[in-house]
Amino acid sequence: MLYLEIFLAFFIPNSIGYGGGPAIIPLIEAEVVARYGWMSAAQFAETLALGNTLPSPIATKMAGQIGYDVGGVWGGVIAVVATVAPSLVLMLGAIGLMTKFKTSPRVKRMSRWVLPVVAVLMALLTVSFMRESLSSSGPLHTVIIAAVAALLLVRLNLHPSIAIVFSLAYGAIFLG
Amino acid sequence: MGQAVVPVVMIMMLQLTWDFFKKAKSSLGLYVTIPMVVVVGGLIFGLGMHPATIILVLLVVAVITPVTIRSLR
Repeated sequence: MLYLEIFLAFFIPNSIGYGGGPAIIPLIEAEVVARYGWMSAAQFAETLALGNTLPSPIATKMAGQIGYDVGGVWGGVIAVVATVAPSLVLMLGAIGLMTKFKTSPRVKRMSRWVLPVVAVLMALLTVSFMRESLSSSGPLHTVIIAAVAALLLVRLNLHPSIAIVFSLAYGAIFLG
Repeated sequence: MGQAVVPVVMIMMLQLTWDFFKKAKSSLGLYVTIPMVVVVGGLIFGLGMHPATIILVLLVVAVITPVTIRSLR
């Protein structure tokens, strides 16, 4: 039953996750945090932060880590399979069909129409991380860390790992 | 200590939000993007609809409705 839940938690977001890797982050969050309650929003944020500092696509790393966390080695395996399988089966079974319809206006429309939805989901996730941080670190620390992170990531365009190392150091000094 | 990571992730998500909004704006135009954002936001946040349902409906509609010249732009 748990394995089935793990499978579904990753199969559903990845089956409908048009729009690239990061697009499915809010969908996975909706499953593992909101629906199944396997982790808190803060734990999800930490997993995402760690995943972002490592190479390779985000979806498979998240799946492996969360699946392992919830259901051990098999949980991890099932989560990764559920993440990769939908597109893999489609590619193997219908690669000719895919290339044939790649320029189809309907297929183009599919990946276009979900963009605003993804933007909304990401905005909601941003807000939930903000709430989470306000309650766990307080407004002052949240604003300071967010401002420095924005400076490092947006202004200086540095790698996420630098901002994360900064935040961990800040947390160790000021947040205990 | 661990909770200090959350604001960093918040900024990352904010960047992604902005990226996707810009993508939506450049492929659908502002006059489609803004109403869609408002409606979808209302459905998810206001009515508590599952995001997967909305995406599924959009994908199905994208496949079954006829293609017009306007939507090709």
